[in-house]
Amino acid sequence: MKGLLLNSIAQNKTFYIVTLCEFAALMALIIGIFGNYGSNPDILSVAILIPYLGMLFIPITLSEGISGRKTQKMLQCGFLKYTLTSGVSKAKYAVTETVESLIYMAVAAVLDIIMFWTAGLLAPEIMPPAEDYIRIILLFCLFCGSFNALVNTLTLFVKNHEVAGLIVGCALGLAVAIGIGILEAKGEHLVIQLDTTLTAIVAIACLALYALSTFIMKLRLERYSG
Amino acid sequence: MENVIEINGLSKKYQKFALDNVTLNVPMGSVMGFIGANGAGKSTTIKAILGLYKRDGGEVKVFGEDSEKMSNETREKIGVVFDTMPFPKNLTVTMLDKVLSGIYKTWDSEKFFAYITRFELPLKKKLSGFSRGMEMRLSIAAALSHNPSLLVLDEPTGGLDPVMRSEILDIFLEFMQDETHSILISTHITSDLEHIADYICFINKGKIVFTEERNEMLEKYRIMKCTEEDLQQVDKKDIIGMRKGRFCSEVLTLNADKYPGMVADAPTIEEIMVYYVKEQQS
Repeated sequence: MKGLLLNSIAQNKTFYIVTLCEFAALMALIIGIFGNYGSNPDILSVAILIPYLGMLFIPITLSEGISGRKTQKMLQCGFLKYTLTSGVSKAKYAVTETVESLIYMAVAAVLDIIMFWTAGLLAPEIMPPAEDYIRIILLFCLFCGSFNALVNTLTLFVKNHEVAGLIVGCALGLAVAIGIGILEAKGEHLVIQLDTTLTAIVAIACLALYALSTFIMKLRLERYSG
Repeated sequence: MENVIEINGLSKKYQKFALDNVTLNVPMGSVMGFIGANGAGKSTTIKAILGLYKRDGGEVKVFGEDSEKMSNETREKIGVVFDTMPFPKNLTVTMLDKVLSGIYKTWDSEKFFAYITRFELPLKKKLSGFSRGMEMRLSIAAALSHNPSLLVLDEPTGGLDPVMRSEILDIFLEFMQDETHSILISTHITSDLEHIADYICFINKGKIVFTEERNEMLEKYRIMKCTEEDLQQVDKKDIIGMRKGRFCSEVLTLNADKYPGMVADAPTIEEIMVYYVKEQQS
């Protein structure tokens, strides 16, 4: 399977659009949440966070590269059909790539922690209290998991209109993120007031849904590749 | 003679197309040319051989194994060329070598790069910048580089100029120097088959019309040139296909001997295919 990993970086415009939407949605969320924490939100302080957000962006990009969006291109170019002729099993392919996606998500979570820790040193005035970090990290997991699960699931349901599914998924994800971000910035504290245990359960459920939707998506490639 | 591919009564139904009771055997050490019009069922049959879908009925065996349950070892013995290049276009040839060496246990990088040099393909150029001819040459190089003993080729010479086609056909003939090697080649360029095929299988509208030894087939069929009067004498049962011209008609038949007064020429494979298809259309 190592050969397939080389193909793991995304290859098509659809992928870039989806990933950029995801990044934009995360930015909307984060600026909303962090902007609310400083007593006088300083846009320059918020800007300090942006390079750290870039760190978050890289593993998500990789994660996405080896999950749903990549398959669009693979279907297009027939590479999957070719690999199936070589004896690479569909189930092994699906499991391996789904596990890889989750590993990258875990890497993303670790980088989140590093990002918060470093940002806390550089711009302590805009950082939320330490006890809120875990909730915010879980929020990212929840967001990334649900965003990707939504996109994958929509792609599955609108099987003959994959790109339309991706666009609708991205639009919904962006709308939710911007909505929460605006409410947070206005001091509504929708997210920060969430119970940690509940957030963790929902975040894990979203990641599991993401894994499941990715898995089903890979298995269904059999139909397309035939 | 042992068959490397055995298809018996294969059927597969789609909404607008069906393979109907397809039976085809490819003997070991032979080249089987698989001809038919667009949408006749060639690619669907090839996919069944490669085990890429669940068939509705019949039996497909490759090297004695059911194509749907083929072991990886058996799959590695099959070199595949699809009508379009299947590789991700953001890769270069060098990267593709690494990718494919991870997929095929029997991958031979040295052999691959020898073909790449022979085909004059660039190592560092992205595949997205390859012409159709370069793509097909790369696909063929990849198919030959994991030491297969069966090549399954779907339109492998499409888009190639005559010189390169001749070069590719020479490579296939080199491949056939080993008597355990076999080729199933589907193509529209039927003149290629006149150089390399031992057998010709003709499929039309999902049904096998005939499978014959090439030379026997070319000796059996004749195209008779008939005036209107001649045509009246020809038994309709003897007419497989007919093309009407301004001054005379041409009739494809298996029974030219019955009409000694008429001029009869040997047809090409393409002519046999065209006459059959047109007759069925009319």
